[in-house]
Amino acid sequence: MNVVLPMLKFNLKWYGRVMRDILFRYKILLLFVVLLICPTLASLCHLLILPLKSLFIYPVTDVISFSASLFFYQIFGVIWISIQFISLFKPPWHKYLLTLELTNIQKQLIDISLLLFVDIVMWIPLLLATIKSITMLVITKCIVFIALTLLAQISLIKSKYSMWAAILLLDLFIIFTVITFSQLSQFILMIVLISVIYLLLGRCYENPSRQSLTEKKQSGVFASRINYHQSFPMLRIQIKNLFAYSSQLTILFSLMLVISLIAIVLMIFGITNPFLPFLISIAMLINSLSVSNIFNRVHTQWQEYSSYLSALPVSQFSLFKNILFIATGITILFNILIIFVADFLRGNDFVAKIMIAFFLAIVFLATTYLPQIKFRRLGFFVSFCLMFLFLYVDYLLI
Amino acid sequence: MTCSLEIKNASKSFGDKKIYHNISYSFEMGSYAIVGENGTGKTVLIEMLAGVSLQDAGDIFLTGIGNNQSQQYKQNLTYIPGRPVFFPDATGNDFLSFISSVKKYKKSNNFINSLIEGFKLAPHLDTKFKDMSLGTQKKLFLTTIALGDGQLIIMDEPTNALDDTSNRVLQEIIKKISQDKIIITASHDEILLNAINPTIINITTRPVTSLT
Repeated sequence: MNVVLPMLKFNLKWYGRVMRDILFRYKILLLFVVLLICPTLASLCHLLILPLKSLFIYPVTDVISFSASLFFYQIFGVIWISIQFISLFKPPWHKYLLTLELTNIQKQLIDISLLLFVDIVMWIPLLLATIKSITMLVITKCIVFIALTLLAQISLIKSKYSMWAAILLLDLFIIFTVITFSQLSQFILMIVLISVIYLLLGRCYENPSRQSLTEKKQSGVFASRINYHQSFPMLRIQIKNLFAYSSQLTILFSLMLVISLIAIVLMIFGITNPFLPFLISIAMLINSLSVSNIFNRVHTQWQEYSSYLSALPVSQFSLFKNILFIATGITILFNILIIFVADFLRGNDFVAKIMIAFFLAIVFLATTYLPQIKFRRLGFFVSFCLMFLFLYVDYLLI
Repeated sequence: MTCSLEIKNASKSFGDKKIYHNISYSFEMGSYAIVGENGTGKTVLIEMLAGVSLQDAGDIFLTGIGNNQSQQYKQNLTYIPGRPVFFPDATGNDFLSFISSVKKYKKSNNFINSLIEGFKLAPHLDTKFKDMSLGTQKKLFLTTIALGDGQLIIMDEPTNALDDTSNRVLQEIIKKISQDKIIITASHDEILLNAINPTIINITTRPVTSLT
């Protein structure tokens, strides 16, 4: 315990610092999101708690909503941690930590204490959902759900993905339990489940055996082959580099998915709205604006290695070409989804109108390159302002 | 094609600290070693020659090719920095492919294969840069000597983190290629310097006003 508390203090200090930077970096986006959801904050809270309530109802009548809430809660937990992975588990001293003689239990406690704190945002809705009907069974169930979510998160942190199969089996077992057994039997089985989860948590911290390490190393040796004429090496490196920052990419993809889904919902329910094509064009431009942050990131990474890269005959144009190719690819992926749905729902005339917005969104993306790399932190704001110019053009053309 | 590397009246300062003042020198075909105590400005000179850091005044150029900021100059340059840095998730093969692509070098040759073999790099070519040891990263950078038809090779502390076998391989490479290229090395390594027998440029004073 004497190690766990100081470690929690260090980890939280680091987490606070990194999160502060992230909040500062995305301040405009956050402001936008807050303004968007503020008017409906109360109903949003209600919406958040509503599905969780189904987890504690006895007897369970709606198995589908129970299962959906259970899976959704765990998936959200995993996404929540994956987007904060670096700020949580990659402090500058994490390699040094590996050299310390910490027992597996201590390591578990260090990670779990940090996760329990960071997951407060998940625990509160869960507790609010139970507040009106606290019984021993409800408390036990609550502990099981929290423990299962922690297990899913820790298996992500420790890259023990095979553990997810075990979690799935446990979920199925829980579903079977709540629809089959009485309250007392459920309570006993939940206690058993807590012990099983505890054992599985321990498995996540077991070191790989020496033999498996040797096998891994040997298979790596045999897998290597000389190939210094790969196709599009610059593109490959940039893509790999982007995926290395998977948490930021997850945020970006989630945001774009939400925007695309909003556009689709608008197309389903806004049949009579004359401004519908214009609203869709806004969604497409926002998708481009979100992707434009990639320019800044790749450029910053390029600067990081400039002590070597600037000695190479790489032109700024070839760098621009490669980043634009990646960014356009991501934008098209989401915007084409809107086009396909539009084609399915609304027919040719509508698609012809939003195709203009589709191409303008790509042109807009290309124009954000210079602001993003020249103005750095202000780059997003300048691109945001530039977006209104394109909105105006969209308005005129559509 | 034979060419020379010229430094004409180059100066470099960092704030109030004057490191080089109005220096001129001509590097012909062959091997050169820049030696001197820590902090005298060897790396600064190497970085100026590599075009990584710009001189405040004067000119550095390859005759008939261009100055140290031109694409043609960089096309003719192989630079091995003191600290090998590259995108951490790129593999060895990615790195070599990237260099051969930017150098527009499409040929396969025995030279690079012999370097990969000599440096025992083959098992590490699918390893990510961040997972390689410092020595392996350095050897990977040294392998780029074989990629391209450049006239100029600049190396900053090339033997740092190298094992004895790789050291000997490097000595042989420098001896071999210095016959038709300009090789400039900043090094403290007496064994390397004795083996390759370069023209020594000793940097002692500050600011440096001449290279001898």
